[in-house]
Amino acid sequence: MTTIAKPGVSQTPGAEVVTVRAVSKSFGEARALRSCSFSARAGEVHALVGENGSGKSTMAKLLAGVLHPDTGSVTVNGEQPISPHVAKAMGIAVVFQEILVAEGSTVLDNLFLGDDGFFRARLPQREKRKRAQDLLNRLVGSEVDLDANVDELSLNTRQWIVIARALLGTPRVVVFDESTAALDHSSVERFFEVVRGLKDSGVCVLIVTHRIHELTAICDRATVLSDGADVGTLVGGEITEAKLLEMMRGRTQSDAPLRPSHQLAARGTKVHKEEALVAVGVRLTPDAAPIDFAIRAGEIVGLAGLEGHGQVEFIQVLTGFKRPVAGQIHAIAGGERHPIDSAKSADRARVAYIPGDRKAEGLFPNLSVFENFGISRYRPTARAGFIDRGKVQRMFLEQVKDLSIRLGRSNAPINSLSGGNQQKVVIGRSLAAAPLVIALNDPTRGVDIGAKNDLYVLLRSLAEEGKAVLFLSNEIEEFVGLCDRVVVFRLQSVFGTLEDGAVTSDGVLAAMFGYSDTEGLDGGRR
Amino acid sequence: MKKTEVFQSAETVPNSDGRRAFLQKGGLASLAVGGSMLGLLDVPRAFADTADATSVVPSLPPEVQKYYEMVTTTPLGPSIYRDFKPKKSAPWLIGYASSFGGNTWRIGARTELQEVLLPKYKAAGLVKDVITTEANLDLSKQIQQIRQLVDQGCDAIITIGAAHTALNGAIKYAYDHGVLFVALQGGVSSPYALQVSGNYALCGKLQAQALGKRMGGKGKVLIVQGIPQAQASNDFQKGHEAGLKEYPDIKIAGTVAGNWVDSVAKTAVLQFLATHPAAIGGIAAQSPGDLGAMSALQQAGRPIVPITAGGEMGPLAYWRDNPEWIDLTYQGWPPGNEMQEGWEVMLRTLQGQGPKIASIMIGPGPITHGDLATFLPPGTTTSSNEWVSPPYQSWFPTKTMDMYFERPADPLQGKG
Amino acid sequence: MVADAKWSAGRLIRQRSLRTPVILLVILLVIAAFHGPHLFTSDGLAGGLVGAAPLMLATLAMTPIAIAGPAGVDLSIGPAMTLINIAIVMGLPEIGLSSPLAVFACAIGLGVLLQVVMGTLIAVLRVSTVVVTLAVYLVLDGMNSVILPQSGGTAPDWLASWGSASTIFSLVLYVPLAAFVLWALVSRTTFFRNIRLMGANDRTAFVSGIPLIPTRIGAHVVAGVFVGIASVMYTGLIGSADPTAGTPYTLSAVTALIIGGASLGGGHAKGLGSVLGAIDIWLISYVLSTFNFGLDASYWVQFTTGAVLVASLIAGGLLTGSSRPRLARWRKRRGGQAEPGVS
Repeated sequence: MTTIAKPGVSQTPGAEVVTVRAVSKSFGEARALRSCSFSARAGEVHALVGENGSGKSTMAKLLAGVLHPDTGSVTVNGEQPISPHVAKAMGIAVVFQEILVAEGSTVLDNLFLGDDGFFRARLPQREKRKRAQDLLNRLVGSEVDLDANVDELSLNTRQWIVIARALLGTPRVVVFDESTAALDHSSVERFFEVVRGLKDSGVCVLIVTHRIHELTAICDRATVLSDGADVGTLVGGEITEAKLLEMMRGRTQSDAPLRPSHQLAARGTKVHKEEALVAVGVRLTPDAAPIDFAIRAGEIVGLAGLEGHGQVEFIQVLTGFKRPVAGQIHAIAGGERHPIDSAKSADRARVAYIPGDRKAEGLFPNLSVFENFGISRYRPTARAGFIDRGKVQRMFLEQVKDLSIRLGRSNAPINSLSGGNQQKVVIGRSLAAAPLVIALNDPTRGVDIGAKNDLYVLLRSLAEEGKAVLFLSNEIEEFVGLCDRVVVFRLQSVFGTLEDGAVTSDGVLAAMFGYSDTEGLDGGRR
Repeated sequence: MKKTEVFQSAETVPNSDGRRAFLQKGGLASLAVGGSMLGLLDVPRAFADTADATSVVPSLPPEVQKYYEMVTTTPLGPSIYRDFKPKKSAPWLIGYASSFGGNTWRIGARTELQEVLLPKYKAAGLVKDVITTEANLDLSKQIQQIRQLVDQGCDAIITIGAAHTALNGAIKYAYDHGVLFVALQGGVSSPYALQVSGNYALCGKLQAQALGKRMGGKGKVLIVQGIPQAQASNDFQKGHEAGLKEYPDIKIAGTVAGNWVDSVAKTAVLQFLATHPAAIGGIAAQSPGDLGAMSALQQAGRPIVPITAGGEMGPLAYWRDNPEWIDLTYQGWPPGNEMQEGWEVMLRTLQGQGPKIASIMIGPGPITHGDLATFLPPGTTTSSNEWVSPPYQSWFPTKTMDMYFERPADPLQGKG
Repeated sequence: MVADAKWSAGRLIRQRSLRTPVILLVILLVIAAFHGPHLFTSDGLAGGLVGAAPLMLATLAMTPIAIAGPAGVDLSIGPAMTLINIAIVMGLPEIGLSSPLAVFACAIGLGVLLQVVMGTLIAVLRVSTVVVTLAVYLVLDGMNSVILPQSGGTAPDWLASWGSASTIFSLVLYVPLAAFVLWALVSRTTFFRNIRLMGANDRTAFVSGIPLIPTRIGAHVVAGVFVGIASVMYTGLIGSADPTAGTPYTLSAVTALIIGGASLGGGHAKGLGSVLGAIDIWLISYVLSTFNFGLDASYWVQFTTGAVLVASLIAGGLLTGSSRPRLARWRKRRGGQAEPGVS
């Protein structure tokens, strides 16, 4: 494993290879980087750490020659990567956050993408196949058909192909931008071995990641970015979770917050008596156990479960986006019952659904921030069918203020915002309709820590206002201290419900895996 | 429109001024520039001298020689089918390779072919069947279809209004395979086609002369063209202009394109009238289009000035009701009659009668007020857009047809 | 490529994108064998070759642009062929040239020039292919009628004789064959692979160091060469110059391209598929002409071509399995069955 990097890298270990000096980069009015500087050496593993929107990925793109700095300079061995083509020639290989493959093409073509000259292949076909097969077998850990269509491979394998593409050249600098996101657990270990191998052969490895525990395992140095600027570089033993978080947030607490429980004050017993949303005898599949469920006004209820155990379907059933196999759902507002059997009826009953996959369901990526906000608000505010833009505008500004959405211009494309701010726009859009029940499907996915905490505070305040909040999450820690109850799903039905003090990470986790002997479970249904 | 004509004569008339001007332009890059510049140069239009070296017109009987006046674009040498022998004896298989099917003229011709000529000659044991193909104005497709008709074993193929040059390869292919190729409405440059055509330039000229005379030799005339790029339309146009030129006090007020569709012609004339309030003394219109021009005058509240009524029944019905409207006009191309003359020429050639000349021209038929009683069915209104069909024998008497053949005989009586 | 050397009928049919055009070809040939057997004579084949070659090459010319994607449809091809046709027949003789070498040089040169202009606009200004080629279509179509208001002229003898060819063993065969060999060679270069990968995902290609602008313009250069050859074949067919007769090739070639299995999303189109698609289109017209539809024939041809196009897209989706996930989703929705992820 230590021979993955090709010979031919002639860099003196320890010599400064990557030099970033006072780089600024703006997209429209959103500033991604502001006077950011750092350097990385040959034979070291250097991490770039920061919240979402702190400019890490922008930095990766600058190194790849995809973007160019507005001011300042990015140099590698004294040269500027002015285009991806040049960067490649300079020995810079970047593995991007997205898994960039040429769809419908073979594995082999994808591995040597951009490797050949305009009229001449750099390597003969036979040599290519041999090298590719050797490397890929070692990386993936099993035989991969080089003539297979990449579309037919698993995400994990495709991620390896993208990594292998970077290694097949003769890289002097390798940048991994969140490259472990799509790797499974055993692959991550092999990935670390790859990184160590590169390091040993004198390659400068830059790792951009959110997964802080990965850093401590492998990094020599870590540069922390905050809001587009470098706020310091940690060396070796200094790299700890607490220290990194502290620098990212620009705060001084030694115990950096991760869980809502650390952020939120203990709750008063303000849960109302009246039920806001009731489900009776709901079956998600014909042979699943029926579910009876109710949420009261002012309550925050967590929905948990292993992937594919019905919690996502359930939240969609509650909000009218999916029809159950059996059972009824109705919302209760002002003593009246409103049956919910479609998204439209849910909307009328003032039940709001905030989808999980922002890109696929929540946003129109080509439209502006304002349009994305206004899209569902035009109709209810319209007068005689004509759009009342002013009214929508006022609603928008109100939500921007309430949710402290950071944006440049309201007509900038939604893509120019960070993930957290995009999510806020989606939430703000729903809040503008003054819902009584708010159902959020994994709202914190891909959102940085700061925005997460903002979100917890927001959910809590919504509950205090008397709204019923349904909160589905894949991160167990998030339930702790935030939710009044957590409903755990298993096998397309409710396995059990944890309340108040019983809402602990261990308790939820155990229930997810079907252990009911844990303290606090109010008698699982199965 | 001047540009069009100049260019056309430049293409087709050897040794004309236009040709030399074009030669001087030379070079690929100047093609576009040359094209537009030529339009600006006021090159006098040169009509071909029909008595060129290969022309056999002078050897034809004088009665038909006059039909070759103004003919410039078709081969006038001896017909290549002069000693033609068909591949096999009667009954023959005939192919009709139509370029498109969508106007009243084509439908008229097709009806004559299918419902009159085919049954008659089938009964006489001369024709087995007619295979029709249709190319929807796609030349490549028409070429394929002509070759296919040859391959399917047709003994003769008829086309109408074929492209000037684009079908030449297919025509040669037919000839090489012993298949007679008859091109109706002429205009084909290939010597391997036997062409049968009205002389539209002459028709236009005679129409315009009659119009000018009726106008007393003075006033303004509006010209309504057919489809500006079509050969027959240009021929008519050429004739109209030549006829009017004989009256120095007649000015051409303008030219509009009627596209051989009455509704288009009507719109174009209305538009012209709206922008030209001055009085118009007459309209030289190509049919179909004369009816459109007439209804435009009616709608604009203008006096119904003389129009060259050349084919549609509506204007002729107006003339029937208003005898003073015009004195005389000429019918250029009755569809049924043209189909019949092409058919007869084809049958005679298959029978080995030996056409004398590559292009058989037919003179325009005059229509006087006295003819109208017989030409127009009773009850014909001034809005009828049907084609007037002169009796065939007065249109193209057998005696005249005989003059074009070496060994004339009645085709229906002839051998297979 | 080593793998491509293993040609066989089996391999052909196993290439998913080629299944539809091959099956359609077989069906049409069977109909032709019964209903128009003269196709399989020397004359018939020559006619087929002369008639179908311009479309085959025009479709081949469209192929690299379709591969370069996205939505790489070159609408300009019909009027471009017309312009080159006019240049060959009317322009070249004016400067005293009519040799095969001069004709091919002029045709290919003009084809490449036009395509480079379009390719540059598309690549540098990042205007969509359809917009640029539509604009060029309109400009050229108008210009052609100005340059040459009426059909006329005669192609050089060696070329004009193609239209009446009775045997396939002539330039009518050799020129397309040479073009196919050229295609086979070009499509095996690294440069062409770059075009394909750029079409499959231009972002990936760009960040991987493939220079997009030269690659895209290069795709147009290849297209231009085949536009030139297509124009020569077309001139051979009509033996003269015509200001409008080439225009219908745009629509026919787009149809042939799609029947040939090209994906308009980019990255996936095969030269062989395009040639087969073009033969299919020609055969549809041929087979229908053997039925005596009379004056309605062309409407039947249009109707049938459209129906075949839709049918081949549906069949293509089923055969290549690209619509299977959607079908599965549909079935799932209908059945209300949620598949358990973990059990």
